Amino acid sequence: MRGNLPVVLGVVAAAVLFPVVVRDPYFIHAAIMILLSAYLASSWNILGGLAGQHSFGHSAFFGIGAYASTILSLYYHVPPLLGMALGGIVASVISIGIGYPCFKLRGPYFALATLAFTEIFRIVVTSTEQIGGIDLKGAAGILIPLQPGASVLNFQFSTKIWYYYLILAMLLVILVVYRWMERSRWGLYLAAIRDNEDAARSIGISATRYKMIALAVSAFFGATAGTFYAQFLLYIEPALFSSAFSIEILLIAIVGGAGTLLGPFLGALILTPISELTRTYLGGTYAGVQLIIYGSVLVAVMMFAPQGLINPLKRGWRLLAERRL
Amino acid sequence: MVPFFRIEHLEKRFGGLAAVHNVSMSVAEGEIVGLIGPNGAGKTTLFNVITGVYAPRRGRVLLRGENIAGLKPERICAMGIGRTFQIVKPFPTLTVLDNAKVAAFCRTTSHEEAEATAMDTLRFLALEEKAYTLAGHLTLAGKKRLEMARALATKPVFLLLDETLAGLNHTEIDRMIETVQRIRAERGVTILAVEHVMRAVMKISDRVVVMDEGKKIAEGTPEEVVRNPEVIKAYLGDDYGSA
Repeated sequence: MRGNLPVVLGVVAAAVLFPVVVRDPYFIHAAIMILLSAYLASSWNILGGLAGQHSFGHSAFFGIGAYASTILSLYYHVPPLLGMALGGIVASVISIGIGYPCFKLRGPYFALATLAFTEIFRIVVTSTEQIGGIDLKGAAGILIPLQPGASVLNFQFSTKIWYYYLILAMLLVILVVYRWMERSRWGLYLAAIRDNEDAARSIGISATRYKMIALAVSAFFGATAGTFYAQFLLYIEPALFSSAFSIEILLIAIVGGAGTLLGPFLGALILTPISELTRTYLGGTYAGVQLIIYGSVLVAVMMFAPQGLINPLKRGWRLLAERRL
Repeated sequence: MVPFFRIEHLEKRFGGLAAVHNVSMSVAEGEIVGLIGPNGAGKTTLFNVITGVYAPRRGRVLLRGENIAGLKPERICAMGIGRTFQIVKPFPTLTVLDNAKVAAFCRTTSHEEAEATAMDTLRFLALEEKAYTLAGHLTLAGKKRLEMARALATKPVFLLLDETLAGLNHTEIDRMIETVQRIRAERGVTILAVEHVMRAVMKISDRVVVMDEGKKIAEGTPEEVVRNPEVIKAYLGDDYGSA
């Protein structure tokens, strides 16, 4: 890993310079969406990859984060950047309520239970116009008004470049957190639980507790992605809670390589442009074509690289490195 | 004197089936006790009740006088009971060393200490050369030794071995018998072993307990047990027993 340090620094430098070199706002927008997907899939990866619990309900936390920071900002004048942290905490607390019943189930049953939970959120938010004094606006969604004077405090910027750097920094943070968790005692516990829960418990690992911790951390970061999304597009809607979106998140992680540091990033790099481009060019005339392309990519990955695309890439990289020496 | 380990009137049912029916037995500190019986006798279920996988419907499991029946598996491990699984359950994506290390965390939070314990355990079981191999790549014999290494790394006082010899060849069985004897001699661990290989049972056990259809049908030295007509009947059927 040490030997890869120059490569890591090079990639980070390239990412930092990207918006300076490529000034086209369309590409910067696309890059932001890729980084956001990578960030979101990485947050899923903490539970899905490290702990092996394939949640089909991650969009619930994304939606909670988006709605929490928006409501806090519109009704209580909490700056969205603080709202981001608060939304993350709210999502963590709720995730424990979801995790407690769901973790009694395993494998596909766990996946189905999490899917059900996110659908509950979607339906409740869709059909709730008002709660307390707060307008949720149901299916219509909430428009976030532009604030006079763009600033970090408002979490609104005059150019997209600042959103780009923010999400890039967030992605670096989550990758560092992931690597740190992976190498800690907890990471080893989570790997043991992922590999065989019965054996893990037989050597004294409290499986439920550590799965809960992984879920709470995963939910926290997932919710912060939601706040970023809300502040970037200035519009939130109940579709953020949809199970289809949940599945998109986990596909990104799995196609790239679940349980690896850079798998979700690779997955986002491949899948997000496909979904953006097909939606842009084919969405109007041939609605649904993007799903066919998406599905084909998925089938190909499952057939030829079931552990994710990161593994063949790593092997290739190692071969190259050896040849160079 | 409080007995080291004791089961009293243990009962576990699956629906109408009494997998373990009114079983009582005890193990003295430092003993190696063999647990035998035909397939479906309830040996593995008994193990699963002792180690907390199942809560018993009735009865007590006493470790040094403390009732551990119904506690969670992770709690029971912390109290000093280690186990291996009949169907090996290594952590395939971790190295052999990490398999043992994660178990060693049962007694320490220090990475250095856990790694030292793990390495020591691997050396004890002659697995140190495989330390950096992925556990999923070991042979069956290797995985069986790893099961033991992982259980031992939690520093148990009482070890339950579930068919450690099944599926091994002659040479591997001999090595494993020697290993089991060394676990008691050098580590001072008391052992309860489910085993089908009679040659091994006779050789390692101080005492043998025989189960059939959920009940304990006999108990004694290996020599006594193999001559017991009840045992012969359980293994070979009624005709042979009455003949």
